[in-house]
Amino acid sequence: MKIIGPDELIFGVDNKDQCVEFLTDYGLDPSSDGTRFAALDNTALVVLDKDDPRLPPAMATGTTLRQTVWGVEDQATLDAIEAELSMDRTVAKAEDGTLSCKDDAGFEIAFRVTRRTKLDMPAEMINTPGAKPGRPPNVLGIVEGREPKPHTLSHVVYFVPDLEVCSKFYIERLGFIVTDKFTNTGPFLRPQSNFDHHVLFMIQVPAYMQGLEHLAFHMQGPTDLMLAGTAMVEKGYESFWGPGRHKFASNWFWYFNSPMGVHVEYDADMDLHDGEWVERETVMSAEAAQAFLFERSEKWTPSDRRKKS
Amino acid sequence: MFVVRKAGKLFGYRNRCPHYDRARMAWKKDEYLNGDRSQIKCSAHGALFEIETGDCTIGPCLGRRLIPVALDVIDGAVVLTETFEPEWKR
Repeated sequence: MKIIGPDELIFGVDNKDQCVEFLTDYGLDPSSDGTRFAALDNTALVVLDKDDPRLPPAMATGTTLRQTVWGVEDQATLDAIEAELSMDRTVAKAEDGTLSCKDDAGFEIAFRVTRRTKLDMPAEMINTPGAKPGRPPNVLGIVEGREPKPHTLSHVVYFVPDLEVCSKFYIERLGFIVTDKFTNTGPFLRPQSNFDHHVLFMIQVPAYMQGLEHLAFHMQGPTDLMLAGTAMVEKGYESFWGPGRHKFASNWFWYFNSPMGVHVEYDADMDLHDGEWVERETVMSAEAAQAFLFERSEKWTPSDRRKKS
Repeated sequence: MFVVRKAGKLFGYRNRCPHYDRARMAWKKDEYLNGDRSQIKCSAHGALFEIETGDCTIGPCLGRRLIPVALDVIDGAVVLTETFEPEWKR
């Protein structure tokens, strides 16, 4: 199954203006009607009023996530998904060919030929002694005024009531591959057309907690992640965890609370894996969750003198 | 901690969602309420709480409640009537 990753996440909220404010400051580009917030490659979050008739039904748990839209490579993949999932559930087909149904945990999901554009952009360039310069002479690492932008929707993390049932659906029915696993928490999953360490992760919880734990967008690199997160804190947004760097996936992370009532993460520099990779498993712990963790502090310089009031 | 005023009364709670350890609740400075401002909301995972009691009404901490902080108003100033120690620092 040539599934690439999440193309769009659709939310139903009671505070749309707040979501517009947050997502715009986060760095996504709003559509003219203020409902769709796109990364550089056109993957996006869609935020509608909770009573909007276009929305799939809400879960009873109160999560604002209404649908996860998966992007696939081609029509043949869509046809294969339709054939596979139609065996045991109703799969709706929209005029534009988008398929929609529920997964085995009850999440609304959809599939369509991806609408993401292929990015052709430089990586973050660094200079390392012993290596050819990443930035040639006179090319600066910090450029005042350059705005760090989310490049692409990276991954989603679900709270699920039955880890086995939900992960099996993605692994056995949709061909997702387990890259690593936290014992008793959940597996990190990547689909077959994406080398990213994970586009989907799950955390086992009681049924009343089911919903979206977080979503993440990939940034160009660690520096953009730090710049974007710092700007968010300076605007008054609430940091939840980070900045830091995870062990599994090796990605830099910085999570924020959001008015959608989910965590929204910046991530950068995630490991890629192919079929040669052998999955690892470890018990979830603070030590296992991160190689390092920092807390943002106010800017200062050693030369500052405390002013007498 | 944070304070919510409803119908002229003040309600103080620790800024700590009972769902996750150390989970601060606002999505932006001073933003602790849901869309119609009828309930306290945790913007980590969307749990809602009654303003008067701190009881969770829906979401990941159903059955649990916010930790109250005792307040009084003296000469127009909001004062804490018990010792308050922050549980952790960021």
